Amino acid sequence: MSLPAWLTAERYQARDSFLHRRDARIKLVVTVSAAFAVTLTPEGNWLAFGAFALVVGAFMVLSRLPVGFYLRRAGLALPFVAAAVPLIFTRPGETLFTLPLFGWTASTAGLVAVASIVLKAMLAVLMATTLVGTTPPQALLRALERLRVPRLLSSTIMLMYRYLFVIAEEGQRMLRARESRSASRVNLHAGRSVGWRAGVLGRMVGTLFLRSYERSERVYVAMAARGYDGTIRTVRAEHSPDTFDWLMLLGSLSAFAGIVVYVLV
Amino acid sequence: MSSSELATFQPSVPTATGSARVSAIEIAGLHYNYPDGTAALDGIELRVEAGERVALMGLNGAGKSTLLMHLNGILRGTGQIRILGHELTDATVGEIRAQVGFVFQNPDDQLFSPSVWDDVAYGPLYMGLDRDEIERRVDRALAAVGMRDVADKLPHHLSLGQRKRVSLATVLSMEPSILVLDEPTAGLDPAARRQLIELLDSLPQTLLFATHDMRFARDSATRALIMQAGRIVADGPVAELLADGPTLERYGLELP
Repeated sequence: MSLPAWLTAERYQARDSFLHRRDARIKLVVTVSAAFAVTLTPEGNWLAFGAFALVVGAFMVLSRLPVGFYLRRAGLALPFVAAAVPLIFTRPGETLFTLPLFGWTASTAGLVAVASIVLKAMLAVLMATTLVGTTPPQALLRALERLRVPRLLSSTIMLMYRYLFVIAEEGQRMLRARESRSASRVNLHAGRSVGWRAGVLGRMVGTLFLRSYERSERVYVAMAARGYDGTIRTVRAEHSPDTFDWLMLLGSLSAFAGIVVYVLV
Repeated sequence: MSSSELATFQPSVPTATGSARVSAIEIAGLHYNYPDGTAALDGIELRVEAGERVALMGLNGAGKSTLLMHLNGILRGTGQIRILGHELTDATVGEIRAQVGFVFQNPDDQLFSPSVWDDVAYGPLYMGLDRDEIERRVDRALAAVGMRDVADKLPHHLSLGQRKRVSLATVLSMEPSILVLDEPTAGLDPAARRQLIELLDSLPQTLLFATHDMRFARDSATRALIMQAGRIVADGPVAELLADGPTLERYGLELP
């Protein structure tokens, strides 16, 4: 009764590699900088994207995470990236081809825009996947706190991570109970209509939301009863960056800055 | 095995003598491994006749729930399962679910609809029954568990005892021949427990329930099974098994 194994990155976080051993704050800063640098790069700068791809590729190799893990994670981002596809038809420019049925014209400029957005998104997602695959969530959250990310935000993320699995498993058990009562009789059409089943699912989501909401109040009361005041305290030994950490930070930031300065100047 | 043969079965009310001797449940060589590879069911052999009332006992992790979830095809291991003489396959699983009513341990899993009425109606609605038949069945199921007056309430605002009874109604409305219950008395106060036991005793269905409640097993079952490490290690009349102190002790159970 557990979530599909591919949803959690825990077994990858438990591995060992150069990147696994790096300070979580350094990794976080490098990842966020990479995302900013890639985003800042104007559309169609293929050379710059190539350079970013090399850096991201180097991190992927250093992480020693399996390719399958990267592919699955990148796949999760695809639906969001797909939202950019209409740009190919809406961006004015030289006509590339015309969609036969609808008469929409695709432009070269549109194609460049879509390809750039997809590349940017993939580079950023692969970087984030490297971070998540090499850093346990507790270390990541502690890094957020030590980087002075507002407490409200870091404790919200922490509680979300804690209860995500509880709620997902509850949802899974509800689906199992529904399956159990989704029976058929000979000569009768089972399952009514797609609309009816969608309605049932929608109400299940609503029920799950209500229960999660009520659970959150119980959790808060239980936390308050133990003196919770908004601060997560810890007595665990704090990690401090070593020479390799500083070198990685310096190296990556210079590379990103170099690429961005090169394309913008 | 054609699936249309299932239609010839009478829903519920097995006859005591039974003209055609077909077992309610037959399991042969059932194995099931958890995704991580550990064996949860390790060669289950079991035959339950129509009308029997069977208590399934054993420590947590012995495989009781896993076994129960095979009876309506929620889990699919290797081996053979026959319900009312019909082999459980992809083709028959839908009709077998109409015959095997499964009541989960936690009513919060069982009850996923915004109102009690909707939840009890889900099974009949899904089966494609007509409106009048659905209303008749929901009303009868709620009446059977004494929960008619909460039909319009939100399930999660009921007491645990009430939710357990509504859970039972959600499968009774499907008019199954076999009832499978996972820990029906867990967490109930003495009054709610007594009410539930009386309710179960009044039902005509073949009954198979997993429980840690030895008094409940003694009072409501005719036959008891003990599971350990994915196998059935003891099987006999409930009175005999529960009087056998050494056997109970060997499997970590205690006398009622």
